[in-house]
Amino acid sequence: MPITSLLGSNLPVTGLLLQVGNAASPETMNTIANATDLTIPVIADVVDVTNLGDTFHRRAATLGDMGKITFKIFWIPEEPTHRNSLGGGTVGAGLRYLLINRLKRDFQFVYPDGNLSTDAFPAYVTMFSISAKTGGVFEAQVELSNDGQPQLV
Amino acid sequence: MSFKDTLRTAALANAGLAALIGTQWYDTQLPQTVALPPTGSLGAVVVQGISNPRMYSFTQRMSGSYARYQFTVWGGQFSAGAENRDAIASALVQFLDQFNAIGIAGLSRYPNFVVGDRDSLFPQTDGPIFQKVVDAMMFSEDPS
Repeated sequence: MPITSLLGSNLPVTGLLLQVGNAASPETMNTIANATDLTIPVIADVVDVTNLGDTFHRRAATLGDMGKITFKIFWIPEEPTHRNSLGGGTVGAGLRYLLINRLKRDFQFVYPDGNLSTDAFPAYVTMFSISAKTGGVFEAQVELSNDGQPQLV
Repeated sequence: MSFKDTLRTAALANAGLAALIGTQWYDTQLPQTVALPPTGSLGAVVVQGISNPRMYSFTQRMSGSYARYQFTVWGGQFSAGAENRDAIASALVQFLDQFNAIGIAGLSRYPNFVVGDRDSLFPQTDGPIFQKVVDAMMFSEDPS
Protein backbone atom coordinates (compact mmCIF):
# COMPACT_ATOMS: atom_id res chain seq x y z
CA MET A 1 0.00 0.00 0.00
CA PRO A 2 1.22 3.54 -0.73
CA ILE A 3 2.16 5.77 2.18
CA THR A 4 -0.19 8.47 0.84
CA SER A 5 -3.80 7.56 0.05
CA LEU A 6 -4.40 6.98 -3.65
CA LEU A 7 -7.51 9.17 -3.27
CA GLY A 8 -5.52 12.20 -2.13
CA SER A 9 -3.28 13.38 0.65
CA ASN A 10 -6.09 15.39 2.26
CA LEU A 11 -9.51 16.90 1.58
CA PRO A 12 -10.20 20.63 2.10
CA VAL A 13 -13.40 21.37 4.00
CA THR A 14 -14.61 24.04 1.56
CA GLY A 15 -17.92 23.08 -0.04
CA LEU A 16 -19.26 20.84 2.73
CA LEU A 17 -23.07 20.94 2.74
CA LEU A 18 -25.13 20.63 5.93
CA GLN A 19 -28.65 19.84 4.84
CA VAL A 20 -31.99 19.32 6.52
CA GLY A 21 -35.04 17.67 4.97
CA ASN A 22 -38.49 19.24 4.77
CA ALA A 23 -40.37 16.02 5.68
CA ALA A 24 -42.31 16.15 2.42
CA SER A 25 -42.66 13.34 -0.07
CA PRO A 26 -40.50 13.33 -2.07
CA GLU A 27 -38.24 14.99 0.45
CA THR A 28 -36.27 18.09 -0.42
CA MET A 29 -32.99 18.65 1.38
CA ASN A 30 -32.18 22.30 2.09
CA THR A 31 -28.69 23.56 2.83
CA ILE A 32 -28.36 25.28 6.18
CA ALA A 33 -26.94 28.74 5.53
CA ASN A 34 -23.79 30.23 7.09
CA ALA A 35 -22.68 27.00 8.75
CA THR A 36 -19.17 26.26 9.98
CA ASP A 37 -17.22 24.28 12.62
CA LEU A 38 -18.93 20.88 12.36
CA THR A 39 -18.30 18.05 14.80
CA ILE A 40 -19.76 14.59 14.14
CA PRO A 41 -18.86 12.04 16.78
CA VAL A 42 -19.71 8.39 16.36
CA ILE A 43 -19.26 6.52 19.59
CA ALA A 44 -20.16 3.20 21.14
CA ASP A 45 -21.22 2.42 24.68
CA VAL A 46 -18.68 0.25 26.41
CA VAL A 47 -19.44 -2.34 29.10
CA ASP A 48 -16.67 -3.49 31.39
CA VAL A 49 -16.68 -7.31 31.36
CA THR A 50 -13.56 -7.92 33.39
CA ASN A 51 -13.81 -11.12 35.41
CA LEU A 52 -12.03 -12.27 38.51
CA GLY A 53 -9.33 -14.11 36.60
CA ASP A 54 -8.26 -11.12 34.48
CA THR A 55 -5.21 -8.97 34.98
CA PHE A 56 -6.24 -6.49 32.27
CA HIS A 57 -9.66 -4.90 31.64
CA ARG A 58 -12.01 -6.62 29.24
CA ARG A 59 -14.54 -4.45 27.48
CA ALA A 60 -17.47 -5.10 25.18
CA ALA A 61 -18.77 -2.44 22.79
CA THR A 62 -22.57 -2.42 22.78
CA LEU A 63 -24.86 0.29 21.45
CA GLY A 64 -23.66 2.74 18.86
CA ASP A 65 -24.44 6.42 19.19
CA MET A 66 -23.83 9.56 17.19
CA GLY A 67 -23.51 11.54 20.39
CA LYS A 68 -23.85 15.30 20.20
CA ILE A 69 -23.52 16.49 16.62
CA THR A 70 -22.66 20.17 16.76
CA PHE A 71 -21.99 22.99 14.36
CA LYS A 72 -21.88 26.75 14.45
CA ILE A 73 -23.79 29.18 12.28
CA PHE A 74 -23.31 32.86 11.67
CA TRP A 75 -26.82 33.60 12.85
CA ILE A 76 -29.19 35.80 10.86
CA PRO A 77 -32.50 36.16 12.76
CA GLU A 78 -34.83 35.97 9.77
CA GLU A 79 -32.84 33.52 7.63
CA PRO A 80 -35.32 30.78 6.56
CA THR A 81 -33.03 27.94 7.64
CA HIS A 82 -32.33 29.57 11.04
CA ARG A 83 -35.53 31.18 12.20
CA ASN A 84 -38.40 30.07 14.39
CA SER A 85 -40.86 29.72 11.55
CA LEU A 86 -42.31 27.14 9.24
CA GLY A 87 -40.71 29.14 6.48
CA GLY A 88 -41.99 28.98 2.99
CA GLY A 89 -41.01 28.05 -0.50
CA THR A 90 -38.70 25.06 -0.55
CA VAL A 91 -37.53 25.51 3.03
CA GLY A 92 -39.36 23.20 5.40
CA ALA A 93 -38.63 25.04 8.63
CA GLY A 94 -35.93 26.94 10.45
CA LEU A 95 -33.68 25.22 13.01
CA ARG A 96 -35.24 27.12 15.91
CA TYR A 97 -38.70 26.01 14.80
CA LEU A 98 -37.57 22.40 14.66
CA LEU A 99 -36.23 22.67 18.21
CA ILE A 100 -39.17 24.50 19.75
CA ASN A 101 -41.68 22.10 18.16
CA ARG A 102 -39.59 18.96 18.81
CA LEU A 103 -39.71 17.94 15.17
CA LYS A 104 -37.54 15.09 13.95
CA ARG A 105 -36.06 15.65 10.52
CA ASP A 106 -33.68 13.90 8.16
CA PHE A 107 -30.27 15.53 8.12
CA GLN A 108 -27.43 14.86 5.74
CA PHE A 109 -23.89 16.12 5.41
CA VAL A 110 -22.57 16.00 1.87
CA TYR A 111 -18.79 15.89 1.80
CA PRO A 112 -16.87 17.81 -0.88
CA ASP A 113 -14.97 14.82 -2.28
CA GLY A 114 -16.53 14.98 -5.74
CA ASN A 115 -18.44 11.74 -5.19
CA LEU A 116 -21.24 13.17 -3.03
CA SER A 117 -20.15 11.04 -0.07
CA THR A 118 -22.91 11.58 2.46
CA ASP A 119 -23.63 10.94 6.11
CA ALA A 120 -27.40 10.78 6.66
CA PHE A 121 -29.40 10.36 9.84
CA PRO A 122 -32.69 11.37 11.44
CA ALA A 123 -32.26 13.78 14.34
CA TYR A 124 -33.83 16.36 16.59
CA VAL A 125 -32.42 19.84 17.04
CA THR A 126 -31.68 19.83 20.77
CA MET A 127 -29.79 23.06 21.25
CA PHE A 128 -29.73 26.45 19.56
CA SER A 129 -27.50 28.69 21.61
CA ILE A 130 -26.96 32.22 20.36
CA SER A 131 -23.86 34.14 21.36
CA ALA A 132 -23.31 37.86 20.97
CA LYS A 133 -20.11 39.67 21.83
CA THR A 134 -19.23 43.32 21.40
CA GLY A 135 -16.90 43.55 18.45
CA GLY A 136 -18.09 40.26 16.98
CA VAL A 137 -20.92 38.93 14.86
CA PHE A 138 -23.91 36.90 15.99
CA GLU A 139 -23.21 33.21 16.18
CA ALA A 140 -25.31 30.25 17.26
CA GLN A 141 -24.16 26.84 18.41
CA VAL A 142 -26.49 24.14 17.17
CA GLU A 143 -26.69 20.59 18.53
CA LEU A 144 -28.41 17.66 16.85
CA SER A 145 -29.35 14.45 18.62
CA ASN A 146 -29.61 11.40 16.42
CA ASP A 147 -32.63 9.12 16.64
CA GLY A 148 -32.14 5.74 15.05
CA GLN A 149 -29.88 4.14 12.49
CA PRO A 150 -27.63 6.54 10.58
CA GLN A 151 -26.23 5.86 7.15
CA LEU A 152 -22.57 6.75 7.30
CA VAL A 153 -19.86 6.91 4.67
CA MET B 1 -18.78 52.98 -4.24
CA SER B 2 -15.85 51.45 -2.41
CA PHE B 3 -15.69 51.33 1.35
CA LYS B 4 -13.03 54.06 1.42
CA ASP B 5 -15.17 56.30 -0.76
CA THR B 6 -18.12 55.79 1.57
CA LEU B 7 -15.91 56.50 4.54
CA ARG B 8 -14.50 59.70 3.02
CA THR B 9 -17.92 61.00 1.98
CA ALA B 10 -19.31 60.40 5.45
CA ALA B 11 -16.28 61.91 7.17
CA LEU B 12 -16.41 65.10 5.12
CA ALA B 13 -20.14 65.38 5.83
CA ASN B 14 -19.47 65.12 9.56
CA ALA B 15 -19.63 68.64 11.04
CA GLY B 16 -17.15 67.97 13.84
CA LEU B 17 -14.48 66.61 11.52
CA ALA B 18 -15.10 69.03 8.65
CA ALA B 19 -14.56 72.01 10.96
CA LEU B 20 -11.08 70.71 11.80
CA ILE B 21 -9.85 69.23 8.51
CA GLY B 22 -12.05 70.75 5.79
CA THR B 23 -11.66 68.33 2.90
CA GLN B 24 -8.14 67.21 3.82
CA TRP B 25 -8.91 63.48 4.03
CA TYR B 26 -6.49 61.35 2.03
CA ASP B 27 -5.84 57.76 1.06
CA THR B 28 -2.56 56.21 2.26
CA GLN B 29 -0.32 59.24 1.68
CA LEU B 30 -0.41 62.92 2.61
CA PRO B 31 0.14 65.08 -0.49
CA GLN B 32 3.14 67.42 -0.28
CA THR B 33 0.98 70.43 -1.11
CA VAL B 34 -1.11 70.26 2.07
CA ALA B 35 -0.46 73.23 4.36
CA LEU B 36 -0.77 72.36 8.02
CA PRO B 37 -0.83 74.80 10.96
CA PRO B 38 0.78 77.23 11.43
CA THR B 39 1.11 77.70 7.63
CA GLY B 40 -2.48 76.60 7.00
CA SER B 41 -5.42 76.56 9.38
CA LEU B 42 -6.65 72.97 9.05
CA GLY B 43 -5.25 69.56 9.92
CA ALA B 44 -5.49 66.42 7.82
CA VAL B 45 -6.34 62.71 8.11
CA VAL B 46 -4.70 59.95 6.06
CA VAL B 47 -6.39 56.55 5.90
CA GLN B 48 -4.57 53.31 5.25
CA GLY B 49 -6.04 49.84 5.08
CA ILE B 50 -4.07 47.47 7.30
CA SER B 51 -5.88 44.16 7.02
CA ASN B 52 -9.25 42.76 6.14
CA PRO B 53 -9.59 39.11 7.06
CA ARG B 54 -12.80 37.63 5.65
CA MET B 55 -15.10 35.18 7.39
CA TYR B 56 -16.06 31.93 5.73
CA SER B 57 -18.76 29.35 6.24
CA PHE B 58 -18.47 25.90 4.63
CA THR B 59 -20.07 27.02 1.41
CA GLN B 60 -19.41 30.73 0.98
CA ARG B 61 -17.50 33.82 1.89
CA MET B 62 -19.57 35.94 4.25
CA SER B 63 -20.34 39.38 2.89
CA GLY B 64 -19.45 41.17 6.11
CA SER B 65 -16.00 41.55 7.61
CA TYR B 66 -14.06 43.46 10.23
CA ALA B 67 -11.38 45.47 8.47
CA ARG B 68 -8.56 47.24 10.26
CA TYR B 69 -7.84 50.78 9.18
CA GLN B 70 -5.17 53.17 10.37
CA PHE B 71 -5.98 56.85 10.57
CA THR B 72 -2.94 59.10 10.73
CA VAL B 73 -4.01 62.46 12.10
CA TRP B 74 -1.78 65.37 11.10
CA GLY B 75 -2.30 68.17 13.62
CA GLY B 76 0.40 70.72 12.78
CA GLN B 77 3.45 72.22 14.42
CA PHE B 78 3.96 73.77 17.85
CA SER B 79 1.48 73.75 20.71
CA ALA B 80 -1.42 74.73 18.49
CA GLY B 81 -0.62 71.77 16.26
CA ALA B 82 -0.63 69.42 19.24
CA GLU B 83 -4.01 70.72 20.36
CA ASN B 84 -5.32 70.46 16.83
CA ARG B 85 -4.17 66.85 16.67
CA ASP B 86 -6.03 65.95 19.85
CA ALA B 87 -9.19 67.72 18.68
CA ILE B 88 -9.17 65.90 15.32
CA ALA B 89 -8.54 62.53 16.97
CA SER B 90 -11.43 63.13 19.37
CA ALA B 91 -13.74 64.16 16.52
CA LEU B 92 -12.64 61.08 14.57
CA VAL B 93 -13.55 58.73 17.41
CA GLN B 94 -16.96 60.37 17.72
CA PHE B 95 -17.45 60.13 13.96
CA LEU B 96 -16.67 56.39 14.03
CA ASP B 97 -19.34 55.84 16.70
CA GLN B 98 -22.03 56.80 14.22
CA PHE B 99 -20.47 55.85 10.86
CA ASN B 100 -22.85 53.39 9.23
CA ALA B 101 -21.02 50.99 6.90
CA ILE B 102 -23.51 48.17 7.33
CA GLY B 103 -26.67 49.64 5.82
CA ILE B 104 -28.76 49.29 8.99
CA ALA B 105 -30.24 52.62 10.02
CA GLY B 106 -31.14 53.82 13.48
CA LEU B 107 -28.62 51.99 15.67
CA SER B 108 -27.46 53.72 18.85
CA ARG B 109 -23.88 53.11 17.75
CA TYR B 110 -22.16 51.33 14.90
CA PRO B 111 -19.62 48.49 14.89
CA ASN B 112 -16.44 50.52 14.45
CA PHE B 113 -14.06 49.94 17.32
CA VAL B 114 -10.99 52.01 18.08
CA VAL B 115 -8.27 49.55 19.08
CA GLY B 116 -5.24 51.82 19.06
CA ASP B 117 -4.51 55.48 19.76
CA ARG B 118 -0.84 56.41 19.66
CA ASP B 119 1.02 59.73 19.55
CA SER B 120 3.58 60.25 16.84
CA LEU B 121 5.84 62.92 15.37
CA PHE B 122 6.90 63.92 11.89
CA PRO B 123 10.32 65.61 12.32
CA GLN B 124 10.95 69.07 10.89
CA THR B 125 13.99 71.31 11.38
CA ASP B 126 11.97 74.00 13.19
CA GLY B 127 9.82 71.66 15.35
CA PRO B 128 7.90 68.49 14.65
CA ILE B 129 4.44 68.06 13.19
CA PHE B 130 2.30 66.42 15.86
CA GLN B 131 0.50 63.28 14.77
CA LYS B 132 -1.90 60.77 16.24
CA VAL B 133 -2.17 57.24 14.88
CA VAL B 134 -5.66 55.84 15.46
CA ASP B 135 -6.35 52.19 14.61
CA ALA B 136 -9.93 51.00 14.19
CA MET B 137 -11.67 47.72 13.42
CA MET B 138 -14.60 48.56 11.20
CA PHE B 139 -17.39 46.19 10.23
CA SER B 140 -18.82 46.59 6.78
CA GLU B 141 -20.68 44.69 4.12
CA ASP B 142 -18.25 43.69 1.36
CA PRO B 143 -15.67 46.48 1.63
CA SER B 144 -13.38 46.91 -1.33
